[in-house]
Amino acid sequence: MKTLVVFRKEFSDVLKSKTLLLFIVIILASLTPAIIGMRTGMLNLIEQGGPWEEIGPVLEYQIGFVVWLNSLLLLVLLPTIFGLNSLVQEKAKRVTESLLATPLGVKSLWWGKSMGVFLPGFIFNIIIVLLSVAVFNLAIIQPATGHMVLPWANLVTCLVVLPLMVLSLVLLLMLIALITTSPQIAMMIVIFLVVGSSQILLRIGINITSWDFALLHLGIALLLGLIAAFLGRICLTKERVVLSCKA
Amino acid sequence: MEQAITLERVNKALGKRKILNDISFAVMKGDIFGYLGPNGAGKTTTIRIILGLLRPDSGKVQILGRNASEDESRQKVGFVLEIDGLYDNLSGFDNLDYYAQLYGVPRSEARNRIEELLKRVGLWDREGDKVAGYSKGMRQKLALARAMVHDPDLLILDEPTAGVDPSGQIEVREIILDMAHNLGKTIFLSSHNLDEVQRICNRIALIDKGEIKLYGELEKLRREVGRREVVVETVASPQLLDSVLAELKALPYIEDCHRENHTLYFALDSDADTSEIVSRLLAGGVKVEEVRKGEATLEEIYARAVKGEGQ
Repeated sequence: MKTLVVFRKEFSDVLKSKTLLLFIVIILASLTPAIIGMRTGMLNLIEQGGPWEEIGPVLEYQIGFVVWLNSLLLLVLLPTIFGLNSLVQEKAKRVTESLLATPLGVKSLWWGKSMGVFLPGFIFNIIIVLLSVAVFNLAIIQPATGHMVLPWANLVTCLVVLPLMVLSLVLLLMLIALITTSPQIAMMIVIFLVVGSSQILLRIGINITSWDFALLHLGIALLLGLIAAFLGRICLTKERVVLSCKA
Repeated sequence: MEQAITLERVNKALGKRKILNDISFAVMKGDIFGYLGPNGAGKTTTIRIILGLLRPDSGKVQILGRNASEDESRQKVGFVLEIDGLYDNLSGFDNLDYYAQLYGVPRSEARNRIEELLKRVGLWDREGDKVAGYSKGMRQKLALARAMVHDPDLLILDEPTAGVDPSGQIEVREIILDMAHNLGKTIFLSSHNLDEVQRICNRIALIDKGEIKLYGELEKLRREVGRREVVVETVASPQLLDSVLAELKALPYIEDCHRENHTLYFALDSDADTSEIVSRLLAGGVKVEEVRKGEATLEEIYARAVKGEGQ
């Protein structure tokens, strides 16, 4: 119940924020030229001819790559910017200490804040992913070929598994920010994890649109989730949070 | 009488620094309890332990009959911390509303309750303004209203008038007294403002370097610490009083004496015999109207306990 109260406030704070509007504009502004650029490439590929069995997977890969990269950036950046910023300010102004002096438990605060900053990105991600796939199909592929490309594994990755992975990451980020005097440490860990894991995912040569890629994400999500749960159990105490608040 | 807060042999160290050393005291229901001490004495650490924000290394802390480490023990506790912890980007009303939700105040009651509290602290006309624009005094009054939003039985106030201008201090003090006397709240007031504590508290504890130096009813402490002073109200000419005083000064157990109009003040050592002083005054032709033991001011009590003055 108290987790829900914290979640609602955090969620509405993100939605009311002017920064969110700016963030949406930036995402759309970067996505639009990408789609326009890919449109030319896709049309060239289609014009070259060839059986659909050959062209289809290439188009699927191209859509999958754009959608996955956008999802990753969107899901990670939004909670990192909003969550970390609000937590840093609240700790400096001793808002966190006041919250913990109520019957609110420290784990409720952790979960409430994490979910509150994660969910807007998650909802926005669903819209962007579905919109991107629809635009690629309805504006480019379907008129030129009469076919539709629906990268199912990629959609499951971007709509379900990747968000799970990012939720674990956000929990870890908020946990570190709650108990350390310098939340920049949390930011650096997130950058390291995101850049590192995306590089590994891309370099091991698994097709982005395959189910293996989705399973790999699921594995990372579970690993990060377990680390967050373990650290939350042993490290997250009111005393650590209060003593790490520096005005 | 029932205890609202109990600390039994509480110890706390942060790193290698010992902050609290075996402290014990109890706050009774209905008390306005003053918790005094110089900066760095351990007042805020004690409050954090009472509010479950820090865990004691050893000892027992109970609040309204429950272990202070339980989150639910604070359901009927309100607080104002040294730094108010208000949301600057929210209005006064929304700050209170958020805390009402955290305490589980039903939505149907919350609005009326917040309105009543904001009117009580004189902030209703600013309820929609963002807290970032409030003065320090207004912030403290809002923090007091926040402390009351769930109708608690106990209020824990850490330096509620610190940084507030004199007129703001008077207003905050009046609100605290209103909460205690008209709303029946038990109040734990941490302060180093002796005048404030003397004006409103009935019991005190004095902490210094992590140890409780004095603890008990304020009036009793004032009498005990001031027990070595005798005040005599007389009817006599100033000249006569001065000549008698000059004789009395020679007595071995009188450490000091002086006159203010018709009132004589005697500072005595532990072997003093008050009856002999009265006899000598009568023998000297001085009419004695009243003899009473002197009462120390809180400032004197504090100075003797913390600085060891007059010992």
